[in-house]
Amino acid sequence: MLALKKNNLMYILLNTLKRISLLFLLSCICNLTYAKSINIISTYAYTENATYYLDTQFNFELTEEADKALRHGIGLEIHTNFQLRLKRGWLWDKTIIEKKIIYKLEHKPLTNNFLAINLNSGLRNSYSNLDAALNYISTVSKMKLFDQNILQKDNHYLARIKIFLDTESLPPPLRPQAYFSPKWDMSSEWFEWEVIQ
Amino acid sequence: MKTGGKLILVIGSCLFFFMLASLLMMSQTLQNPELFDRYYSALLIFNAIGLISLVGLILINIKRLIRQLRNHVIGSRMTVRMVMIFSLLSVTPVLIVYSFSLDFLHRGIDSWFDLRVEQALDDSLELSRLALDVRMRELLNTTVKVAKELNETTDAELPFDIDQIRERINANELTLLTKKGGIIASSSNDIKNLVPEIPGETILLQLAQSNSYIGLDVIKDTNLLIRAVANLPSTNINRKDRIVQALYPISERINQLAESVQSSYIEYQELSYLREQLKVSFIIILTLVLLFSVFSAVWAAFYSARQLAAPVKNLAEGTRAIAEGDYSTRLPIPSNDELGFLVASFNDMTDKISQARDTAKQSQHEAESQRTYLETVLSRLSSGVMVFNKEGNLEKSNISAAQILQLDIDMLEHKNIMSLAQDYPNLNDFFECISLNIEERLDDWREQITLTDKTGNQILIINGATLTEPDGTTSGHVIVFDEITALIQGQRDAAWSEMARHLAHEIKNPLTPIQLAAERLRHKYLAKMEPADADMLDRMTNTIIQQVETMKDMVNSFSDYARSPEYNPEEIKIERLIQEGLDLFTNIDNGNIIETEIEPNLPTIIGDEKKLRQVFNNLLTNAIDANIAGDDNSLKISAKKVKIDENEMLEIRVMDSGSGIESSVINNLFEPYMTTKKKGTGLGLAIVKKIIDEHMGTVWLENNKEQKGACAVIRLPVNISNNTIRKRT
Repeated sequence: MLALKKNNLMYILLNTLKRISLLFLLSCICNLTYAKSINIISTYAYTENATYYLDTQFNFELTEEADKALRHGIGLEIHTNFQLRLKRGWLWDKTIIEKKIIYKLEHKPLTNNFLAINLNSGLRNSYSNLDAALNYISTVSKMKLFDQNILQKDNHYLARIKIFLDTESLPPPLRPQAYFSPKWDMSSEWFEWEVIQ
Repeated sequence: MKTGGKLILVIGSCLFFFMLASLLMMSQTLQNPELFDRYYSALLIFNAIGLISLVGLILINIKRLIRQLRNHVIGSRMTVRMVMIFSLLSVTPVLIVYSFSLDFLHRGIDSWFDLRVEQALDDSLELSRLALDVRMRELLNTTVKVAKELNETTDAELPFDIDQIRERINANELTLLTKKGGIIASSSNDIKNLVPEIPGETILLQLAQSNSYIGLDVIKDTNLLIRAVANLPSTNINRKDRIVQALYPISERINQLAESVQSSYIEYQELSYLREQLKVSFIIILTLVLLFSVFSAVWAAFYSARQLAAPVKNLAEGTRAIAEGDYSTRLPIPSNDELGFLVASFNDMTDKISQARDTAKQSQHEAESQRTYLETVLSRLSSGVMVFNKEGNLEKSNISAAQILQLDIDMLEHKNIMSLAQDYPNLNDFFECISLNIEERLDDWREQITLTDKTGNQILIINGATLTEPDGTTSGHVIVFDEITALIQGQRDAAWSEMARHLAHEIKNPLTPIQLAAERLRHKYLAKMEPADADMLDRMTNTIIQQVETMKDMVNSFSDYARSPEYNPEEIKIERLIQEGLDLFTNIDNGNIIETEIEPNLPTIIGDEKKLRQVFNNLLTNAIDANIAGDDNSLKISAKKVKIDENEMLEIRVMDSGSGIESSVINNLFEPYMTTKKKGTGLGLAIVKKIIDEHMGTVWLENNKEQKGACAVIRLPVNISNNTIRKRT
C-alpha cells in the first residue's frame, strides 16, 4: 500500500514536472509550424463629411481548443484594434489614435446559442450557431476612425488594423498555457495602409 | 568579507524577501478571485524572474567554488562538503512535502468534481429545456394560428389587428415581416423601443426550409424571451412571402430558475474544463514555492558554509604561513564561541612562537658572530688548530693546520683520527700522538714530534686540551700545534755560526805564528843540519805548514759559513752554471762518465751567481767523491721545469752512482759537521742548504730507485722577484 502510494506520488511528481518542462518546449516548436487561419478579407476606408470610416471583414476562426473552452462556458474576448500612426524618420512610429472594438463571445447551454456582447456599447446579439456569431464579431461596419483635420500636411500617416483573441481575458489558470500554446494563438497580422490626406 | 561578497549578500537577501513577499501575495490572490485574475500573471512573471536571479546567484557561487577547487584554495573542499550536506538536509524535507502536497492537490481538485453532480446539472438543464419546450410548443402553435389570422387580415386592418392580437396572445412584441426581413407591421408593449427585433439570417434560412422557428433568445439586455416565427400560409398569393414573429416573455420565476440552472451549469463546465489547468496553475505556484525554498536553501547553504569555513580556512592559511616561517599572521576572531577561542589560542601560539623565534634568531645571530669571530681568529693564527669531537672525528680545523700538515683540510673534515692516521702515513706520528693523548684522557698535554719526509724533518709542538660541557662531560678535544722546524733550525744555525765564528777566531790567530815558526825553523836549520836530519826537518816542517794550511782552509770554511756574504741577485741561466761546473770537473779528469740531460729553453731564475756556483761545486764534489768510493763512475746531471702546487720551479738533479746514503742520516746530512766522508769539513751540504734556503728553494737527498747511488735534488722557484728574495735574505 505504501509502495503504491509512493509510486503514485512519484508518478504525479514526475508527470507534473514533465508537463511543465515540456509545455514551454512544445509551445516553442509548435509556434514555428502553426499556420494561422485568421486574416483580413476586405478593407475599405473612406471619408464622409471630413471623417474617416472603415469597413472591414476578417476571416476569424476559433481553434479547436478555443471552441472547446467556449462550449465549456469560458467567455472569449475578441479585440479589433485600429491604430493611426505617425511615421517618423529617426524614431519609431508614434501612435496618434488607437481604437478598440471588444466583443465578448459566450455560449449559452440552455438555449444552445452564442451570445456576442459588444463591450463598447453593451449591445448583445444572440446567434444559434458559432459561425454567425463570429461573422458578426469579425465584421466592422462603418467604424468611425478620426476627423480629417487631425492630419497635418507634410506628415505621413499609417493606419493599421488587426483582430485577436485577448489571452489576458482568459481565466488565470488558462493563461500560462495560452501565452505559449499555438492552440490559443488567434491573432491576425497587422493590416497596414498609408493614409492619403 | 569582500565588497563583492557583501553586494551579492545584500542582493540575495533583498531578492529573498521580495520573492517571499511575492509568494505571500500570490497566496493571498489565490483566495481572492478578483486579485487572482488581476495579479496572477504579473506575480508569476516576477517570481519566475526572481527564481532565475536566484539561480544566477547560485551559479555564481558554484563557479566561484569550482575556481577555488581548481586553485586548491584552502577551505574549498570543506565548503563543498558543507554545501552538499546543508543542501541535502534542507532540500530533502522540502521535496517530501512537495510530493505530498502535489498528491493532496490532485486529490483535492479531483474531489471537486463528482459524476453525480455533473449528471444532476445535465439533468437540471435538460429539465429546464423540457419545461420550456412545452411552453414553447404551445406558443409556436399560437404563433402559427396568429399567422393564419394575419393571413386573413387586410393590410389596412393590420395596424389595429396586430396590436389586438399581441395583447391577446400576451406577447411582448409581434411583428409581420417579409421573408427578407422587411418590417410590414409591428406591435410592442415597450413604447420606448420603437424598432422591432428582426430575426437573424439563420432564422430566416430555417424558415425557408420549414414553416416555423421556435427558440429561446436574449434580446437587447432583457431576460430570456421565446422567439416564435412562422410563415404566413401560402393560400393568399399576396401574403406568401410574409412571416410573423412573436416574442413571448417567460415568467420571472422561470427566468430566474433557468438563469440559475444555466449559470451553475456553466460554472461547473468551466471548472471542469479548467480542472487540468487549475492543477497546473497550483502546481506552478507550488513548484515556485518549492524552487524558491530549494534555491534559497542552497544559496543559504553556500553562504553558511563559507561563513563556517572562513575561520577554518584562516586557521589553515595561518598554519601554512607559520610552516613557511611567517609568524606575523594574526587571524580575525570570528565569534565568541569555541571557534573564536580556537582562533584566539592560535594567535597566542603564534605570538609565543614568534617571540621564541626572535630569541632563537638572536641567539643564532650571536652564535654566528661568535663563530665568525672564532674563525677569523683561527684563520689568522699561525698555529694549526684542530677540534675533534668525543668520538675522535675532526670537527674543525684552520688554514694554518692545513698549511703546516700540507693537506687539503676540507678532505679531512668529519674523518676519524684513526682513519686519518691510516690515510696519511707521513702524518702517522702526528695523529697517533694526538690519539694516544686523547685516549689517555689527558685534560691538558703537550708533545713535540718530528715528522720526516724526503725534504727533511718537520718539528711540531702539539698542545691538547679537553673540551667539557657545563655538566662536566667531555664534548671534544682541541689540538693546537706549531711548526718549530725553522725556529730550531734558526737556533741551530745561529749556534753553529757563533761556534764557527768563535772557532775561526780562536784557531786562525795561532795558525799564522805556527806556520811562520815552522818556516823559520826550516829556513834556519835546514841548511845546517845533516842530510838525514835535514830530510826529517824538511818533512816535519812541510807537514806542519801543510796542516796549518789545511787548518786555515778549514777555518776559512767555518768563517764563510758563519758569515752571510752579501747577496747579489741577478738573472741567471741555470744551464750555464751547470755547464761551467761540469767543465771545471771535466778538466780535472778523474775518470767520471758525466751525462747531462738539460731541458731546452729553461727559464731564467733570479739568484746570486757566485753562491749558486758554489752550490753546484759542492754537489758535484760530493758526487765525484761518492763515485770514487764506489765502483761505478757515472754521473748524471739533469735540469727541467716542473710545476709544484701551481708554481713553476726548476728542478736540478745531481745523481751519482756511489754507494748511496743510509736512511738514518739522509735527513741530517744538511746539518753542519754531518758527513759520511773520511775527509771533509761537514759544511758542504750545510752551505748548500743555506744558499738554497736563501733562494727560497728546497734541497734534499734521496737514494736512486733504479740504480745505486744517491741524488741531490734542488728546486728553485722561477718568476720570483728580486725583492722577495732580498726580503727573505
